Amino acid sequence: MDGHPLHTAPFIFPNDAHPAWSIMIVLYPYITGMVAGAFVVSSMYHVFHREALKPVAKLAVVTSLCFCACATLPLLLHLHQPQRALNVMVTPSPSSAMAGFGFIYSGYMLLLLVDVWLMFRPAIVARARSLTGRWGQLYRVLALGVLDISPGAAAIDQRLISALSVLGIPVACVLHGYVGFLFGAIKANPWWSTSLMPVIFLSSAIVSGIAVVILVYLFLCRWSGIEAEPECMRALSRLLWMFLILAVAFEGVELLHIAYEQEAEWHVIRELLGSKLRFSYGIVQILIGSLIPLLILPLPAFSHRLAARCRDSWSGVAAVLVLFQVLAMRWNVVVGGQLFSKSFRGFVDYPLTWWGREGLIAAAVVLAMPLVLLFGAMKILPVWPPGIDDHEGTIQ
Amino acid sequence: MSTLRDSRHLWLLAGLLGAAALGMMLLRTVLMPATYGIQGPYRAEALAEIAAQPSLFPADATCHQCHEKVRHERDGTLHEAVRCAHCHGLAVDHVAKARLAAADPSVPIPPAAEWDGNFLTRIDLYLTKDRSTCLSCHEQVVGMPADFKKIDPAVHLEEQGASEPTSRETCFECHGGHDTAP
Repeated sequence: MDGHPLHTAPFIFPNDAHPAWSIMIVLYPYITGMVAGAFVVSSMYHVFHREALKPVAKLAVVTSLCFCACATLPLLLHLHQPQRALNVMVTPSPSSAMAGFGFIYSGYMLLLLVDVWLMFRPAIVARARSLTGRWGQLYRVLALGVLDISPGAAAIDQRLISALSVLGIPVACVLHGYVGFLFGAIKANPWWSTSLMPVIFLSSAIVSGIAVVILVYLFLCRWSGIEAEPECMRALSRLLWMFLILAVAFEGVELLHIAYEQEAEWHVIRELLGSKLRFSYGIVQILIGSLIPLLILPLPAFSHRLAARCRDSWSGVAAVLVLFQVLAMRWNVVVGGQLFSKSFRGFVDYPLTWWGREGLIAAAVVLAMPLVLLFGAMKILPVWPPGIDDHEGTIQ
Repeated sequence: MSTLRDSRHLWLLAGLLGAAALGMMLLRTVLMPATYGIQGPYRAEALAEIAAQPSLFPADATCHQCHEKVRHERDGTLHEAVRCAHCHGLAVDHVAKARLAAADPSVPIPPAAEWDGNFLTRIDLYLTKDRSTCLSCHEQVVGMPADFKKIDPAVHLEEQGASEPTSRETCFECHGGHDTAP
């Protein structure tokens, strides 16, 4: 016996025997992160006037809205009692961080809805005027019955869009910082309990949102047979690279901090990373998802000599790998933090199944839902291709 | 005046949002349980409801109704304070069937099963002489009270000259379970 706590008989507290938070709780911060990240891309154009991002500015904010609309799906599937979903807002506990979710999420959803509505109002009004039948009715309802767009109204809308885009940045930070806070504030779990957690979640959220916008943009360009704007792709790749550096740095500092302090919990976290999370942390999150994109992203981000197809391919591959990185990071935090008992003397397994309400198939459907919504939104609003709505005078 | 006309759609939107907020507050009055918030952010009556639920955790007295001998073995020993369920499991099924069998002897009472030493294995009733059960309380770890009977298993088994120190039942070479002898 060398005094190493794991060398004593393993002991798992009875309430630690089964990880309670499933893959759906992995998807919840994953999808929420894309909401915040995609909005940041849009704000880069609307607030910080990065003209290169104009082709994706509206696409990004609509993508953000579609992901936001699906952010509660995994929670509803996980909680098994969706009819009680409103209770968290009807009878909120002022001392519960979870109770804050309903209000923060609703506030952000409302902000996105109004932002998108104002951006597309000229197009909505133009269609409400020109179309008849059911489609005409739909657009008249969307226009709230106000079918005139004077220059004065457009100017007011423009000012409001700018204000909402500015307001949206801190609210997006609050939304995703709050998700990180939920984990960071659980003091019983040393793999979660760190004040860096909101920052880690936020930075990886922005990374995943940029990656989603890159992939959606590349897919739509390929689908429509148009070439992606070189400056836009370069700007997106630079943004992705910059925020990936930040995200990986925060994640690395956090682990280094725990490892260097060598507090009582380090032995169990070391075991966790070396055994249960060896693949999802070491291989997927660090090697495939962080190091490779960090190395290849400077190519499409800074090189002017790359052929367009080659540049887009590098960006696309990096974006896919980054999405795996963020998914793995969410998995390693949410599931990883439940794989060891709070006794620090034993590990449990998380049985991932294909079928069932919280299986892999359901998870894939949940992940696909925002993209289905985006497809629907593109049918109703002139989101794509860029410039399609210019003749309708849509506010940029 | 023209600003008011130009922002007509925004006033409409504000009206809609205000109506939604009002609706939410009305909904809250309908959905709010009567006793919510009296003692905290929960239904106060939930406490009485939970207290009225039948306990799944059998009291020692329940076990002693049939296992009278064990009660005498434990009387006056240090293990008298340890609940039966701590070592033998919750025995929910066993107790339920035993109650049925009291009225109808043809109902079979599920016997206790051998424990496989795995804390993850859920067994209704253990018949355990596994060292892990003893060590879950008596293995020496930092911070245990000075007068608590605690051992370093490797040292203790060597000192006592255990004939089969690696056996799962090695503790029972010298000790009883119920009466803590010697």
